[in-house]
Amino acid sequence: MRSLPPLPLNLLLLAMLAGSLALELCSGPFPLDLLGAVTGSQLDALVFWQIRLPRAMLALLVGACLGLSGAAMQGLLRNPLAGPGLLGVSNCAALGAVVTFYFGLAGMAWYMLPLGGLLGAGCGVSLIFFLAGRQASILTLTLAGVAINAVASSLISLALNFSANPYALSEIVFWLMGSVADRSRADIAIALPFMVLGWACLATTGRFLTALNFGEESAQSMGYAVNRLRALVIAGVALTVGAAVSVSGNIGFVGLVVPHLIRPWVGGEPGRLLFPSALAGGSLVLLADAAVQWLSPQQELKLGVITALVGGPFFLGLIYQMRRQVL
Amino acid sequence: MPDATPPASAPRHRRRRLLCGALALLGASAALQAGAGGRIVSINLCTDQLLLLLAPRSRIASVSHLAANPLYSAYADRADGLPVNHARIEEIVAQDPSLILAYQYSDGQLVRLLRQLGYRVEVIPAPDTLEDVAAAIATAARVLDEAHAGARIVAQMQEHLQSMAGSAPRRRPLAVIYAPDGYSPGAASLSGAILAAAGFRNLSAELGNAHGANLPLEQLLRAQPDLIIIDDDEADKHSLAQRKLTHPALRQGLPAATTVRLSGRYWSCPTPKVVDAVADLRAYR
Repeated sequence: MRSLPPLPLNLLLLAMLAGSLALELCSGPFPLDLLGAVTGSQLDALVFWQIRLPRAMLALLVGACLGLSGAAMQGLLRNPLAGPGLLGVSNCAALGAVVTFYFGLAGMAWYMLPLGGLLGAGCGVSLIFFLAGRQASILTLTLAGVAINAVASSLISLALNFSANPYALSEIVFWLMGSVADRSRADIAIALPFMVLGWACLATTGRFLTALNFGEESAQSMGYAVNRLRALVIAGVALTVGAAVSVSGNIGFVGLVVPHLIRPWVGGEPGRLLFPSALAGGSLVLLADAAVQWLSPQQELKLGVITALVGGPFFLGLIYQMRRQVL
Repeated sequence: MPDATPPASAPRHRRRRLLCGALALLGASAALQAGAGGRIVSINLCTDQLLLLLAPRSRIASVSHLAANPLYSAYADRADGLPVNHARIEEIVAQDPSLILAYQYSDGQLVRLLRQLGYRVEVIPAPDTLEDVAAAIATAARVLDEAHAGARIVAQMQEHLQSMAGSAPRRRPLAVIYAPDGYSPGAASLSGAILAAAGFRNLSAELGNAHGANLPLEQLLRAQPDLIIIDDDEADKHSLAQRKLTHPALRQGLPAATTVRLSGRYWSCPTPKVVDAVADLRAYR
């Protein structure tokens, strides 16, 4: 496929994002006249500003974080199977958030919950990096992810079990499958500062990731401070994934799938992948959340169910294509 | 006694008929069974309360660990100092009970195993209506050989209910029970029955939920109920499910609605306290 210049590609993705956003805002138990709601009757306006818009914005922001961090991780690890969900970073973030939320730390200050997510994600991504390291095979990396995922998800269950919370069982599902239902502006307010910081970290690493594609030595000889920039990518992934997961749970496969969908359009350049992946990630989670509301208006499905239904087969296809490389 | 409005009277007659049947049954079984003795174990919060209500303390071997918690148990004071169990097979067997009281929602595997081991296990059904409550009390009284106590309690309960139904006003305001995670019980549930007996319409039932369902926040706002009954005993706990009850839209979107918190210990088990729940609720009409 011929790659597109950045501007038309990003405009196309922005248009898609706007369409997904409109679709999500129209989804809900009741038809809502969007134009009327913004200015119209009190109840419609309330539903729009307090329920639908926060939910849609959260879906968009979380999707953008996951898409972006997936692209950054694939670039950093030079591994097409990397992604925050598959390698256990999201579950580590969820574990951090669970510990702060259920043991009352989150009530101490607004930043405690995303900070918990950030610390968890930071541990996860560092662990992956140092465990599977710079030259790890795809197989080693993926297996390390399986192990980290298993440990983190069982620790989530264990922590919830000890939390004296009467709803622990159903909330394990939230943290492992993710949801943006019935969130308020407060959730966006606590996560957004961390997300912006993470985006800022990752935005400066685009050229470095492209250079890293040719190997560490090449990047070094091109004048990049490899160690410092690598730390910046790790910090950026920890910030974006930590903030996103701490308010939405672990929405799987977005970070894995999105960069693959975008890669052909940017000529395979890891650096150019970042911004379009954020836009496409936002669209994907918005569409998934609209689908959730459409499929089960009463007993809402968790978002991860939809993203895994799309992402799982995609992942299998990916493995099929790469099976020589993997084994 | 003045009669209630037509819609309320029909179920009441049915209730009375059912109750008469239950009472006749009580008399018969009391005549058949003589003497008691032995030691009784209850493994569920609801059967704990029935046991504490109906049987003298001396007959009780143990109650469940929730029985003495005043947050959940309406007869917590009576459970003070009694041995507790956690519905685990080895604990129960060690007490060598002559009768084990289990509830419909008790672990079926455990009940099966206890029966295989030769213990007498009586499973009390969970009620969906106030008639079911009377029947459950009667059943428990029968298996406990306390039929007279049971009949007296059921009669008092019935009397209390009828005295209230007699003064039923015509207006039936719209109410909704909102539990953590937005769960709202429908008509075929004990909470729904209490709501109906107190003279309220049930939003969840009107939306077509027979047993109950999670109501999206938007649906609640659109319906604009007159009364919101928050079913959350543990407001001090940290959970996502409970956070839904403090969503800003709930506060701003229903300015005219009255919000009350219900105390779950009166609402969740077949005890005469359900009538107190009805009486409490009627104050909000």
